[in-house]
Amino acid sequence: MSHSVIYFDTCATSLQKPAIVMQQVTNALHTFGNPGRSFHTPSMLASRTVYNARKEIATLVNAASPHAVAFTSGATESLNLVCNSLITSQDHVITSVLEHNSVLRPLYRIGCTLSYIPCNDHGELMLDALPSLLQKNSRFLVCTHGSNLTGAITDTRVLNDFCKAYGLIFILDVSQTLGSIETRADMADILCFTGHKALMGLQGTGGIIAEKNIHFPLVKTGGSGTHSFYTHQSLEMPEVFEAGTANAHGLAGLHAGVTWLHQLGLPVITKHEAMLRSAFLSGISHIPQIQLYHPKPETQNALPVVACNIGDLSASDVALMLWENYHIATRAGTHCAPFVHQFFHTEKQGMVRFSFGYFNTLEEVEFGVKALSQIARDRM
Amino acid sequence: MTGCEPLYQEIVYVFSHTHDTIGAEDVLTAAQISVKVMPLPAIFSSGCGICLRISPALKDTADRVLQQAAITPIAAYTRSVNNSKSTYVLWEATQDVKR
Repeated sequence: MSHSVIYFDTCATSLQKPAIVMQQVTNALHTFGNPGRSFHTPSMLASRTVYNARKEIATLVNAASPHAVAFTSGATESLNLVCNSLITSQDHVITSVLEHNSVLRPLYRIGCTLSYIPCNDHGELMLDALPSLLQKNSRFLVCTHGSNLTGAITDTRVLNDFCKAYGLIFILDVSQTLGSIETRADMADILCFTGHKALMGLQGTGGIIAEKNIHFPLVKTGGSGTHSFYTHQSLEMPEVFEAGTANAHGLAGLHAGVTWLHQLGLPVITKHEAMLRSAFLSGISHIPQIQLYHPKPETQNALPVVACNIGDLSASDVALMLWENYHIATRAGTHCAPFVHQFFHTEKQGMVRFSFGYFNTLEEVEFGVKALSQIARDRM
Repeated sequence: MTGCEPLYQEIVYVFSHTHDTIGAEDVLTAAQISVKVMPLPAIFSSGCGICLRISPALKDTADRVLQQAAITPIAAYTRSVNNSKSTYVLWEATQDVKR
C-alpha cells in the first residue's frame, strides 16, 4: 500500500491486511493442492487450512461446531444460496429499508411478497413496526446487522425474539459487522458473511453460518470429493452449499486474518474504530454546510461509518476532490442501498461515505476532517 | 520394490465427509495419536475421498477421543497388507457399509 493514500473505504473492502495474511496466501500459492480431494501432502495442507478456517470462524461467532460454517465466494453468493434454497414465490418476507442489493435482488428474483421495516430520520430501523408487517404467509425475516451507509446497528435480539414468537426463519447479513463488532451465531438462524472486509481476508471469500438443523434444498451441486456414485451431494452443512474446488488460497488468507483478529482481540478493534468515528464526527459535525446521515449522536453503538454531503455538491465531485487533492479514498454514489437514498432524497446527489478500519489512525482522521472542512469552506 | 512386504495390520476409519476426516485428524493429533491419511479404497463408496489410519493398539484411545469430539466415523476396518495387497474386514459400523 502506498502510504500517501488515506483509505477510508473499509466498508467496501479492507485495503491494508495484517502481514500474516499475505504470508499465508503466498505460502498457500506455493504449496496447496486441491482441498478435500486427495491424501497427499499438497491436498492435505489445503484441506487442513480450510478446516482451520472453519474452526476460527466458528470460534469467532461462538458456534458449537466448525460444521456450521460453509464457505462461499462472498456475502452475495451466501445470500443468493440461502434465499434460493429456502424462499419461494409463495412466501411473504420481511426485510428492511437499510438493505443492500445483495439482500434485495435475490428476493426480487424469487418473486416473494415483501414488506419493509422502515427507518427514522437517523437511519435507524423502527422495530416497533414489526408486528404490523406480519402476514399469514410470513416465513422469513432477512435483514442487515449493520447498515453499510448510516452505520446503524440492528437490535438483533428484538428481531430474533420476534421471529421465534411467530415462527419465522431469521437470515442476518453480517457483511459489515463480523470482525468489527461482536457477532454471534445465535443472533439469528442463519448468518451470511464476507471475508474481505473486517475479517481481513481476501476478496472471493465468505460464507454461511447455520447452527440449527435447517433443511436446505440443494441449489448448487457438483463435485464434492465424496460419494462419487450418488446423484447429488450431501444435504448437510457445510457440504450442502459447497460444490467444486474451494478457494483454498483465499481461505488461507481468511484463516490468517481471523487468527490475527483473535490474537488482537475484537474489543480492541471495536474500541479503536469507534474512537475514529467519534473523532471524525466531532470534527465535522459543527460545519454548517455538511449534512450527516447517521444514528442519533447519543448512540454509541454504531459502525465506524459516516455518510455525508456538502451542501448541494454532488457526492461524486466531493469524492473526486478528496482523492485528487488529498489522496483520500472514499466511496461516493448510492452504495447499492436504494431505499436509504430514497428515504433521504439523495438518489441524484448520492452520499460520500467514510468508513474506517483498524489500520486507520487518528492522524488520518484529523486530516480527513481538515480536507472536508476546506472543501466546505471553499463553497461558502 | 519386491512385492513381498511383511504382513501388517492397521485400523482404517472411514468418515462420511472430508471435514469430519480432517476434524478427526486434528483431534487425534492433538491427543498425540499417530495418524496417517490414505485415499479411500473405491470399494467403500459410501465414504469421503480420504480416510485415516492408526495402529490397532491405539483404537480404544482413538475411539474415546473421537467420541469426546462428537466426530462419528461411519465405519472402522482392519486393513491387512500382504504382498502389496490390502484386504479390509469390517470392525464396526454406525451406518450400512460395505462388509
